[in-house]
Amino acid sequence: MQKAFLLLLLVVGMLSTLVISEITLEYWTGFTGPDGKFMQELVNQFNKEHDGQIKVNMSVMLWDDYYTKLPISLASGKGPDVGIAHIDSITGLINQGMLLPLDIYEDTMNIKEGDIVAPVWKAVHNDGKLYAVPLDVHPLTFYWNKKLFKEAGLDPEKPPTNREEFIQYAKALTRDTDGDGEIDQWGTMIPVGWPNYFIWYSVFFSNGGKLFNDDITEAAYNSPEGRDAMQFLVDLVYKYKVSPEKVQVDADVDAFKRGECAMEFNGIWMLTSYIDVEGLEFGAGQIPQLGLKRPAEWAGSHTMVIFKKRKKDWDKIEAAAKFISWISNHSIEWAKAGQIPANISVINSEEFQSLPYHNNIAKGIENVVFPPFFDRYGDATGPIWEALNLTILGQKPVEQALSDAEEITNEILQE
Amino acid sequence: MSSLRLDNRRVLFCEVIFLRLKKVVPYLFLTPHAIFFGMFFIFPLFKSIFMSFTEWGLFQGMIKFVGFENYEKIFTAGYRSRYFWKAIWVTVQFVIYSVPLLIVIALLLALLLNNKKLKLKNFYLTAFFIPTALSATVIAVIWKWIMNNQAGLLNYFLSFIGVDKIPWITDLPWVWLAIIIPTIWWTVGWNTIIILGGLSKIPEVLYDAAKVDGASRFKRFIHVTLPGLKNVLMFVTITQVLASFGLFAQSQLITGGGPARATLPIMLHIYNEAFNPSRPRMGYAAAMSIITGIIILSVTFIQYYLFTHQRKVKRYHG
Repeated sequence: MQKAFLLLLLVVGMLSTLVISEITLEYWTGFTGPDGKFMQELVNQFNKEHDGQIKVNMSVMLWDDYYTKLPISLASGKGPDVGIAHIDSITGLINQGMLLPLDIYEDTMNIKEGDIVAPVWKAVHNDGKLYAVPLDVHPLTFYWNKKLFKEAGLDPEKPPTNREEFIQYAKALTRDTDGDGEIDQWGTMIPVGWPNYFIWYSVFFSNGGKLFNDDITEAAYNSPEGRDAMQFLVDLVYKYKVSPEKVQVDADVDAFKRGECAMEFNGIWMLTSYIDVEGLEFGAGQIPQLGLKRPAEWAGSHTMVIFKKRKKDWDKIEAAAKFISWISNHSIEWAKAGQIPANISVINSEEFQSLPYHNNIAKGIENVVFPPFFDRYGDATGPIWEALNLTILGQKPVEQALSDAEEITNEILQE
Repeated sequence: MSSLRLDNRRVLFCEVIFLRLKKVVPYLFLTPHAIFFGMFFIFPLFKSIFMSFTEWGLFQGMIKFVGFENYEKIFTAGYRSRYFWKAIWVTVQFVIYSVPLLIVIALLLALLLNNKKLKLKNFYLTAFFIPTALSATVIAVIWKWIMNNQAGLLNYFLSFIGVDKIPWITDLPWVWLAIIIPTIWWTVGWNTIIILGGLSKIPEVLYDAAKVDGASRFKRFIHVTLPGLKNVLMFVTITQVLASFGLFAQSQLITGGGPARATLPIMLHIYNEAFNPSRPRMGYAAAMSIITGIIILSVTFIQYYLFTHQRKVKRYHG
């Protein structure tokens, strides 16, 4: 009797675990800005649709903390099942053995070549294996103040498209509006620091430049293309005098919001906060072709990855693949957070095309150039950031700054 | 009677136990601290010494013993040693600029607050001390706004006296002020309170005696206040030097270490290397922190020697 009762209990217990076998996924992101809200809504919707099967818990932390916590928590056998990785950190994560190749799940996810914007799709492959599914592309974006364009007699619907036009427009937009002998409205602003590297990068690739030699053992950016791109930024400050000197990081953003900076370069992530500024009439689009050969622009990309855990739980991994695919197909909501979705069918959807600024910015997406990603890309390009800051401050001539930077990059690459 | 004898014996027994315990009890009281001290100071110290001889990724199986390679990188020519010594020099510069200011200003504030006639003394004290309670992030955000070179409050006020826009956060030498001024505003209250405590311990009688002897206010300060504060000032100087060597958040958040490493202190450099997102270099960072530790330790010893040595000389003359 007792035995039978125990058996019954056991059977009931097993059945109940079968019934409540909801899979819980830990999902980590660094979306601390307004974008976090949009992502949470997507996750909520996913949870609702997969009630009883899959439940996703999203945790949000600062990107800096995110990339610090990630290896530590995974090393201790805990940590997230699924998460976000910036496209340039994927190689580093792979080399630390933190990512799971996703090829075998291509069917589950139903995402293949041609579904995702080409340059990004290429960039998430390593050694021929797929390691991440691109969620979005966030290009460097060109913002211009339409009101100031009108005041300067320029057509607010026709932003500059090349270098000459850009300089010409910038000169027309740099004005002393109250007549006190001091310029209080600037054509553009080139900050000392973030995001000047991305501007330089766009001009550099537009010049047809190459950052490193083919086997990534030497720097190749100290070239006519690199020097021209850097000199151009310096000239905007000191020769054409269309940008104030010594602009601090984010001062360009504030000035653009106040209407004191007519043309600004910043990430597409600034879009929602510009839309929120009352009375700011602005346009946003692809970067004018500031180099001399072809249009090019810098972009980053958030990708979704599945982490390799010490104990592999295949059910969880499968569920994570489903989650990634679902998010990618619903990334129209994500676009509203101020991103260009990486999923081509979403870009072509009517809903996306009707968003006021996005489709204009998305036109440049074909021109996005990704650098060769390797785990020390950040270290190897660090010296360029320094060279840019020193030249824009006027502390070093371009030739010297770039050859000093080249020396350090070579040391790093040959280490 | 027999019961009494038993009691005596019992008392004796208890006494023996008590005496034995007396030797143990102090250590029992120390254990909670000793455990945490061991866990968070002693163990990490030895572990980082060990780490400094390895190439240390964060994952198992990524630890490779490399001998003195990490130390060689610091001492042989190359960009790594340049970056390291540059960061040390930046930190030393900060110590040189900030320590005297943080002590002199704290001393002046303490003297003002020590004035018996001062009303609302506690209010002022609280006002000076409150910034200490704020986090570095808050300080950085506030001062970045104040020192914004295009639209900041500070440049706005300066424009009234005809000063051109100063690039506080972007260019040398202003970036130093952009770090030092917030640091003073943030931490000076701490030293002020310690010095104030020292001031209150100087016997009033000494001032009265000096007054009777006709000593001026300045002379009273030199001959009564300063000698009376000697121990306190020594304490404040040593702790302040240590604190200034730990410069981290102000650089990270206000100037970002810029322009081009001009304000990148050693602690931030170590952190950046250790938690480099593409390839954490814990081993090399550990080696750098050991060398830095040795440097800081020697500075502290020199200071301690100077202070105590001086005292001996005085005693000899006196």
